[in-house]
Amino acid sequence: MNCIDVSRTLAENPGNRVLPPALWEHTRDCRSCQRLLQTLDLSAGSDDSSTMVRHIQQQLIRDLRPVRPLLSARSLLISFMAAFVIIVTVAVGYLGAWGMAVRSSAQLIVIVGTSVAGAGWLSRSLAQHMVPGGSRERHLLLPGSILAVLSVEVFMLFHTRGESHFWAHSRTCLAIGLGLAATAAFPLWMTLRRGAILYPQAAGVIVGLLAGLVGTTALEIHCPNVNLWHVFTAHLGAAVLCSLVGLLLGTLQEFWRPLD
Amino acid sequence: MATGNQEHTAPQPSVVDLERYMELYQQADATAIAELVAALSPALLRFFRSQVSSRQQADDLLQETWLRIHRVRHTYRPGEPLLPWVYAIARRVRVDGYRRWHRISKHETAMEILPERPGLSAVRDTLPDWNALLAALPESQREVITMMKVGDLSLEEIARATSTTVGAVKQKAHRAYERLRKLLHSVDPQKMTSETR
Repeated sequence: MNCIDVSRTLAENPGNRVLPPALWEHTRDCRSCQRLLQTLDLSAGSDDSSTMVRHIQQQLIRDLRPVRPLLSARSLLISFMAAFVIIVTVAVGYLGAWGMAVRSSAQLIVIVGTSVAGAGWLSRSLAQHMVPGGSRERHLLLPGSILAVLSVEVFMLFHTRGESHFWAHSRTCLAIGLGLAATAAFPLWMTLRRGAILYPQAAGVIVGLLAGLVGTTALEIHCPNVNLWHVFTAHLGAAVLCSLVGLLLGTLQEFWRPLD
Repeated sequence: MATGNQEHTAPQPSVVDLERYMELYQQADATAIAELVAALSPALLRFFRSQVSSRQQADDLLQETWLRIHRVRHTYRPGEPLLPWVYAIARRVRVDGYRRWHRISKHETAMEILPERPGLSAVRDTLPDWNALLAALPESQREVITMMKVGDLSLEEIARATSTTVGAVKQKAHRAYERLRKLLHSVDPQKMTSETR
C-alpha cells in the first residue's frame, strides 16, 4: 500500500473516512498521508454567517407564495414531441405529401425516422436541461451527432440530378422549412421558459435543432425534389440554420442575459 | 452535512429533512424556508469562499444564489436529490459572478505554490490554512473537493451538479489530493528544519 492508494480511496469514498486496515497501516507511518488527512479535517470549519442568514430568510419569507412544481420529465418530453408531431402533420396536410410519391421507402423511412428519433433525443435532453443538475450535456455532442448522421444518410440515399432554377427552388423550400421551424419554436420556447436553464448555449442549439427538424421532416414528406444538393442545402439546411440561430440566442443569453 | 468544529450543537438536518423542507418551501411554508436557509447557507458560503478572492464576493454570491433558488424553486422535483440541484445553481451563480467581476477588471491569481513559508523562528507542526491550500488548486479540482468536503456531496451528486460523470469527478478528486499532498510537502516545517541543518 502507498500514498497513491490512500488518495484513490479518499477520492472514491468521499463521505467515508474509515480507510481499510491495510491503508491505516501505511498512514500510521506516513507523514505525508497524516498531514493530508489532518488537512481534510480542517475543511469543515465554522463561519459566522448568522446575520446574513437571517437577512436572507427575511428577504425570502417576504416574497413567499406557493408554486406549481415543474411537470415530470416524461410529461415535458411528451409535450415537446407532441408539438413536433402536430406541426409536421398540420403542415403536410396543408402543403400536400408530394414527396411520398417520388421517394423510395428507404429514403422516407430512414430520413424521416432519423428526424423523429433525433427529435425524441433532443426533447429528452431539453427536459433535462430545464432542471438544474438534471443534464449531463453541456456540450454539443448530441445535436452535432444528429446532424452528422442525417448528412451521411442524405449523401448515401440521394443522387445528384440536373436541376434548373436550383437556387429558386432551394430558397422556396428553405423559407417553408424556416417558417415551420419558427412556428415550432414558439411552443417549445414557452415550455422551456418554465425551467431554469443553466447552459443557455447548449439549450439554444438543442431547441433550435428540434424546431429545425420540424421543417426538415415536413419538407421530406412534402417536397418532390429528390436532387441530393436540394435536399442537403434546403431541407437539412433549415435544421442547420435553426441550430445556429439557437446557438446565437443561447450565447446572448449566456453572456448578456437580455432575456432576463 | 459536514459540521466539523462548529461551536453550536444544534443537530444538522438530514438530507431527507432538507428535501422535505424544500417540498414545504414550494408550498410557501415560512418555517421550512428558514430551516433550509439556515442548514445550507454555511456550506454554500464555504463553497463560495473557496472559489473567490474576497469575503464580500462570497457573501454576494450566497445572497444571489438564494434569490435564484427562490425564483426557480418550482423546478425542484420532490423525491429527487436536493444537493445536486442546489449546487448546480450555486455553480452557475459563481460563473456569472466571476464574469461580472471580470468585466469590471477583477482578476484571479493562480498560485502554483503557497505564497508564504513559515519562518525558521516559527517552525512548528502546524497545517496551512484550508482556503489557502484550495486557492492553489485548479478551479475544477477546487470545486470538486469543496463540494465533497464542505458540501458533503456524494460522487453521483457532484457529477449531477457539475454535469459530468462519476469517473471524471473521481479523477479530479484524486488529482486534487495528490496536488494537496505536494503543496503540504512544500511547506512542511519538519522538511524545512531538516533542510536548514
